[in-house]
Parts: sequence; C-alpha cells; structure tokens
Amino acid sequence: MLKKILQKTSFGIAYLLLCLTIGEVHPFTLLPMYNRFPNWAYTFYVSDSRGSLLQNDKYFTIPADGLAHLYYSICEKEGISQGYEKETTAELKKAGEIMMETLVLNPLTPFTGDTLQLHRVCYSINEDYIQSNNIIIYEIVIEK
Amino acid sequence: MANLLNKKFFKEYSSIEWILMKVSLCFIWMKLVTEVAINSETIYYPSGICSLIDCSIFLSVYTSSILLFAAFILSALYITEKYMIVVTFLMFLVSLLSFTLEESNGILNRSGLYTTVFLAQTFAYIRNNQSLKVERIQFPIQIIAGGYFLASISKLNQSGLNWIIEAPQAAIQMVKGFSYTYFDSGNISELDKGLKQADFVLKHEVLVKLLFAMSLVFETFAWLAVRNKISAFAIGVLLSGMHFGILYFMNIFIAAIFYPMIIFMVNPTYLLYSIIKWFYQLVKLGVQSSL
Repeated sequence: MLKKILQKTSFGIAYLLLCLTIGEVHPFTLLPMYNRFPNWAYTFYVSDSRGSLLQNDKYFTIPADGLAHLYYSICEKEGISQGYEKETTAELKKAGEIMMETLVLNPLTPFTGDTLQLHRVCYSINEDYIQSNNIIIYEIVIEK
Repeated sequence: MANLLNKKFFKEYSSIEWILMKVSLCFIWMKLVTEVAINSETIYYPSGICSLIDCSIFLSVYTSSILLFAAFILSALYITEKYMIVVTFLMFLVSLLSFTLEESNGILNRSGLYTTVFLAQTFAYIRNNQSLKVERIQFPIQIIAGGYFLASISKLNQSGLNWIIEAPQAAIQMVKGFSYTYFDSGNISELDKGLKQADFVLKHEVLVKLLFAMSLVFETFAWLAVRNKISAFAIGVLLSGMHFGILYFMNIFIAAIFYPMIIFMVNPTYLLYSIIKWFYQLVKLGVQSSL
C-alpha cells in the first residue's frame, strides 16, 4: 500500500520539497501569485507628451503584465520596498529608468512623438469603490 | 459517445491519445519558447543557470535561431517517439534555458512546471518498465499536482484563512488585469469591463468568498489527480473551471501552469477527436440505415 502511494507521489513530493528548499530559481518556484490581496495594485504604461497611451502591442515587445513583473524584479534587486505608493520619487525614477531602457531597446513601431512618459497607476479600494492614482515616474526625450 | 464513456477511456491511455497529448504539448511549448526567443533582449536580472553562465550569448539572432531550430527538431522527434530518453532530457534543457532567459529579463512567468514535466518523462523512459505507457503521463501529473499544492501552501502560509476573508479585495486585481489588456490593445472598453467586474465583486462578497474557498480546496486536493486516469480527468476539469473563472473575472491567464495541467489531465484535443469520431460514426450509421 505504502509502496504504491510512494510510487504514485514520489516525483511530485520531490519537486515540492525542492521548490520549498530552493525557492524562486527556475524550474523551481513557490507559485506565490495572488497569495494575498493587499489594498493596492500597480500597473504601468507609456504615453507621449500629451498623455496619449502608446499601446504595448503596437510599440513594445514587453506586454503590460511583463512591465509590472519587471518593476517588481527591479525593486527586489535594488532593495526598494514596494506597495501602498510608499516608494520615494528617487526610487521610482531609478526603477523607471531601467524599465524605459528595456522598453525602448527594440521598439516594434518607431515613435513619432518627441517624449516618452512612463506612468504608474495605483489602484486601491476606498470604502466600496475602486480609486486610482496616476503619476509619471520617468520621462525621456527621443533623439531624432 | 460510447467511446467517451466506456471503461477503457477512463483507465488506459490509447496511442492516439498519447500522440495528441504530445502534439498539444509541443505546439504550446514551441509557442512559449518562440516568444521568449523573440522578446528576450537583456539579462537585467540573471537568475538560475543564467547566474552561473553568461546567458547573453543566447540573445543574438543567430543563437536564438539555433535554439528555436533545436526545439523544432526535438518536438518532431518527441512526437514520433524517437530516442525518448535523450530527446525528453534535451527538451528539459532547452526549456530550462529559455524560461530562465525569460526570468532573467525580470519577467517571472513561472514556467517551472512546463520544464519539469519533460524531466519527469526522462525518468519514466529510463525506468522503461511495463508501466511506461502510464508513467510517462502519470509522472508529469505528479509534478503538476505538486505545483498546485504548492500554490495552496503559498496562500495559506502567506495569508492563512484571510485569503478567503479578504477575497473581495481581489477586485483591485481584476481592474489591474483588465487594465493590462487596455494598455496592450488601447481598447478603453476593457478597462470599463474591469471596473464593472470589480463593482460586482464588491457588491457580492459572500459569493466571492465561497468561490475563492472552492478554488483553494481544488488546489489543495489536486494531489488526488495522481490516483488514476479518471481522478486526473475530474481534477483537471475542476482546475480548468477555476482557471476559466480567473480569466473571466480577473482577465488573468496563467498560461505556463494551465497548459501542462489541461494537456496531461484533460487532453482536450483527444476529447475533441473522440467527439468528432463519435459524430462521424453516428452520421455513417444514419446514412447506412437510410439506404
């Protein structure tokens, strides 16, 4: 009986234990996605100087969710504590600079405007409705 | 329909079932590996094997083309069941390198399950015993079930039962998910849709808590999928329901986890094949009886 159970679970258990021991090193993962629901969520997008959205599908190889992942990876690497809009302007500028560098590396469509602005939108619940706060965290002038 | 309901369907894996499983797996795998090869531009955040070796050599057009070509050849050999020990191990290595490159870009899609299922199959082929036809599918199912269990541990460890109590706050994640689509496509109606979904969640807290509790139960008991083919199918259907619910309400699709699960547990291409075959036989019978 025990042998049969072990035979049917040993690989899964081994993978589980290795994930718990090693953590976030591919192919191991702790699958922490949505393991808590804090009262904030960030999204990022790029606009021109007039604030018009430059959609990721048209201009960038990184999709919007990838951009958010990139922000969290940068924060982890740079030791920036994230969430509840508590990041300082300097910290946001630092992260925004790296994000923008990655974004403009290989654009899908040439930019026609003269400025690119990277926005962070923070969503949160205020009593029983969703509120948002949109700020520009980094801006570059495109050299023609 | 008899084919769908007979005992054999729920106990054994037929040759056509195995082939369709491999075709589905390779099709999605090639898509994911191609996306990584095209989109990987920097090694900003070296992780895994990229912290041990210089992975920037794989960013050039030439090396990523070679990697894609290798993935294509390996997929062809895998589907035609050639040199399986070597092929599944090389697929594991290509997967390991590709998805580590993606994570080294700072984009954590957590494709670990996809990579590890190939290694599990390598072990099944090394064992090469009389149960090979079952083990080459059951070993990957163990990895996938372990992954879902890990996700439930992560939730309980991080939030405990607050994960259910605070579930209505997932409304923010819903708006986030739909705003991703808006920022990608430029279609503002996606954002409006997200706000409406979030409003629904905030007004139906009990229902939302119940749904989240159910999904936590599904993840925790995903282990039952390792028991046999019928339990894998049943758990696969429940987990698919959970993923479609997440996609509908939150506009979030966790591809790297969903695909291996549905391919190994539900095998939708085989289901479709069985339905078409049944329908064809029904039409054939109808034509014969009318003659």
